[in-house]
Amino acid sequence: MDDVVIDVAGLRHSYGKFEAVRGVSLRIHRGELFALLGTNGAGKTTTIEVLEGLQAATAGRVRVLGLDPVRDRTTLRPRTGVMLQHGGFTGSLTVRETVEVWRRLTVAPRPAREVLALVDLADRAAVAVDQLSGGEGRRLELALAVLGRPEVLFLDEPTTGMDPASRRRTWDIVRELQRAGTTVLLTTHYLEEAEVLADRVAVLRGGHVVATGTPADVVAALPARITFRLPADPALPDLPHATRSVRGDRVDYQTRDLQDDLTRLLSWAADRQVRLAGLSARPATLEDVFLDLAADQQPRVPQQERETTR
Amino acid sequence: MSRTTMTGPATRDRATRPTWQILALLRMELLVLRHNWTATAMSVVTPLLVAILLTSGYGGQPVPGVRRVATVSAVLLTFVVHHHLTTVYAARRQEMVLKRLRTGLPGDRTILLGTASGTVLTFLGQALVLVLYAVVVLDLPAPVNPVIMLVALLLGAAVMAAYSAALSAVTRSSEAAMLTTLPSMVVFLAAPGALLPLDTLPPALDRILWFLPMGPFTELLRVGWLGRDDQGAGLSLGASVWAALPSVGVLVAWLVLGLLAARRWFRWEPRNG
Repeated sequence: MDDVVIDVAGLRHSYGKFEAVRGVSLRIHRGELFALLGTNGAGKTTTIEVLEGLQAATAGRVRVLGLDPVRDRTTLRPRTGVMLQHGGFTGSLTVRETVEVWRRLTVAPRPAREVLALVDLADRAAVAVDQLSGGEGRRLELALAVLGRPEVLFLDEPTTGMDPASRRRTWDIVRELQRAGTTVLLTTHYLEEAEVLADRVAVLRGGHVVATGTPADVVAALPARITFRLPADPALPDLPHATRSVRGDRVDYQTRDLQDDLTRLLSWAADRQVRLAGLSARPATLEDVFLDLAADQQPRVPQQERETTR
Repeated sequence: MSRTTMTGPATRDRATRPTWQILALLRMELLVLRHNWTATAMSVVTPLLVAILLTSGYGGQPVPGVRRVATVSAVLLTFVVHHHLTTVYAARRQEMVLKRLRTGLPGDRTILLGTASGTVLTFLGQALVLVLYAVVVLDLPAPVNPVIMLVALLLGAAVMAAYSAALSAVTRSSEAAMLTTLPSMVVFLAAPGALLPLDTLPPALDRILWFLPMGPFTELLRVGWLGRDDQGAGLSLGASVWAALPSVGVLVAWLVLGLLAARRWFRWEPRNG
């Protein structure tokens, strides 16, 4: 009836006394590529493993393609593909043997040659998997994840440990799969990956979603930045849309109206004949979002009137 | 690009059938053996050679010979199935193969059975070779009731596999398995008819120790093979089955306990940090 493929409401998950996920809600639509961003320990892997059905939720509602990943395991599994964060091969088997074993465990699998070509491992087919480089091992994982042409693909830090060329190739593959209609949920701590690939992102911190939306939306919710080296005259101006902080010899304004505040700053400098060394002005990036939201102790507090000199 | 979208319940593809899945996992375990001759020699060839050596002095002596083969089978069962399978479960867990399997079609029980299948088949093959050797070379009588023997071998292997799964939880490597399976191997083998002699222990102690898994296991082998009980009385087919029931019952009880322990302690992925 609807095209919501992944529906999570109030998901909580605890390991003993430690609560790793504390009330996550997500709605991911068919064909969407959604990225979960966060530092280590933010709850990304726990969230994705609950969706994969590897762990049961402690509380909350989880549906993938309208099914419960744990209870409806047998119905759901033929329709999902999973790439775990850490591999899962028996080292002495060759690449081809590994793919052949997994083909037997997959409904309507792609031919081995096709998936190996897809991930650029065709010429490594006869190599034992423990001889593969880190990036090649990850690409083999990806090959197994897409063996059954899944409708929903879960990728847990798919490009960690890859060289830049492998990473770009992986992005291309993921984009091709998305174009063919696959819904993709990936976790990453590479911001570039989220910006390049994702239709929407959710930033996780301490088991909570602290921001969600398109990469542009999430970035737009954050202030732009003006920075320069601390001038000799320490009487810095107050800008109407900005908060100011000084770290070492760097002055940092976070502004809601970059053009207006920058104009005022420049005319202040012109009036006083102050030289603003190392001046830079730029809109927020996903990295700022990440650092602000992922590291901040009080992420939900508006940053409007915060004047800090730490 | 052609893309089939399944909407209903999973089609009855063979990949969704547990037997097919177990065969796929068996294939994986056999490939591991083929690639690693050291492991193969350690777990397949050496135990069999030792077993043949240990029985070789019993040519033409039906009762002592069969008792010796039963003893050696108990040792094979503990070393090959219990000890070796503990290392296999631990290795597949540490390699994250078990976790990866759980993301796919096979259910948890199928994964555990499939991973055990290579080891259990190895043991059954060894037992078959040993029996053939005893009958053909040592000139022992042919088994009277091979079905009872097969029940013993299968049930014994199942009991060992269940405790292997439970013990793999505290086993981090194959080296560690030497230590973690030592107590269980001693307990399993300290039964009359296994590593303790028949007919010489004080009767009360003999009765108690008989309840350790290898007591009923070896008794089933003796009764099935010779078609008579340990006192030497001949048993009809019906009486053999009747005499086998207590042993089967004790093994089933051990199996249930082992499965509960495995359910309680088995780990699918390495402990973090």
